[in-house]
Amino acid sequence: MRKKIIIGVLLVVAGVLAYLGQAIAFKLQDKKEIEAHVAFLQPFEFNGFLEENVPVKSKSTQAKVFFFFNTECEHCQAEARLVAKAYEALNKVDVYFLSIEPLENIQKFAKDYGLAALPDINIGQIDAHEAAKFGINSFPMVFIYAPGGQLLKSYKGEVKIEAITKYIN
Amino acid sequence: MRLQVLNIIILVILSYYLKNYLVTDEILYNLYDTQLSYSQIEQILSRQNEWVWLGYALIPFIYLLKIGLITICVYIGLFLMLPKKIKFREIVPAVVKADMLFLIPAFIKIIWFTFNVDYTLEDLQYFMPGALLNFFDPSLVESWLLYPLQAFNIYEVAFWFMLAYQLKEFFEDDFQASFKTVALSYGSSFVVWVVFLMFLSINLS
Repeated sequence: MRKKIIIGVLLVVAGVLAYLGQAIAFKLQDKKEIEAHVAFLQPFEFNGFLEENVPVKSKSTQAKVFFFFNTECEHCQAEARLVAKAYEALNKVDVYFLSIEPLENIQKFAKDYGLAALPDINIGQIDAHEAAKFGINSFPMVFIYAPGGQLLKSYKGEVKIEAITKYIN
Repeated sequence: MRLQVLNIIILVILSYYLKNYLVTDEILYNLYDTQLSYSQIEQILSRQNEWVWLGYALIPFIYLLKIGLITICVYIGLFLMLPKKIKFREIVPAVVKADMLFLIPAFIKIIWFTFNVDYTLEDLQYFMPGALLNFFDPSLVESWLLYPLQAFNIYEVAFWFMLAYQLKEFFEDDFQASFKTVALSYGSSFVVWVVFLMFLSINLS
């Protein structure tokens, strides 16, 4: 009887390890796909305040900076304030503030944190499936792309403007 | 009980020394400087300083939880492997004594960084003498592999032997039987724990 219990316990342990091992393998595969997707900007669309399905192209004449945010996140609010304050430093880049939340929330966020008043900033709603391709798992996440579409740098969390401009100037 | 209190006091002192003399503000500024501005770093540090007491307050709870969990694993092992019944509290001293081995790398770390002052926070985090990680460059290792490479170290091996040695009295001084029980009970739980942390780390990174 005792022997059977020991074998049972060891089988449970082996089962747990197999489950975790498989989950790790799947997650690693996901990560690889995300890394490959993020390495070069793929065209996608987002919903702006005035226009739906605004296209974002892979290549353009200017570098691009994407801020993926959540309106409730304090660090995203601080990041928006930083960008609003130092907007001049980013005048040679296309700046995108994107969230998967409803447009009303995004609009209020843009107004509250000074982004709405900025002329050339792109703020809007991105499809959750599209955001997942960037591997967004915390906020804010920042991606800096060269005019040719190559990823120059990505950051997790709040980031100072100089840490962005040093990659694009 | 005395040994547990002593261990907790030592852990609190080591943690205090680490936080106040090794993880200095300068080290933290250097860490955050690439991404954050001076005022942002100031904010983070002041917030961290507000909650630093919580870190010390949690040490006894984390320590007792760790000892409790290891003892449960070993207790189940002994329950299944031995014909006679052993009381839970009879195993605790053996686990506590063996666990004191983990103070050795903590002391080595403190001595090392007290005299080698040119280091970064990453150096401090990944320093584990006698670990598998020493065969690799931590900056090139995937983040989810860092913990297992640190966790498999000579102190962990010594812990298994020490625990088996402490428990051999329950096996009529048969060290081999004692070690087998430790390997099957604590050992398998340890492997599950390491793999679980790898799983968490890969999901959170």
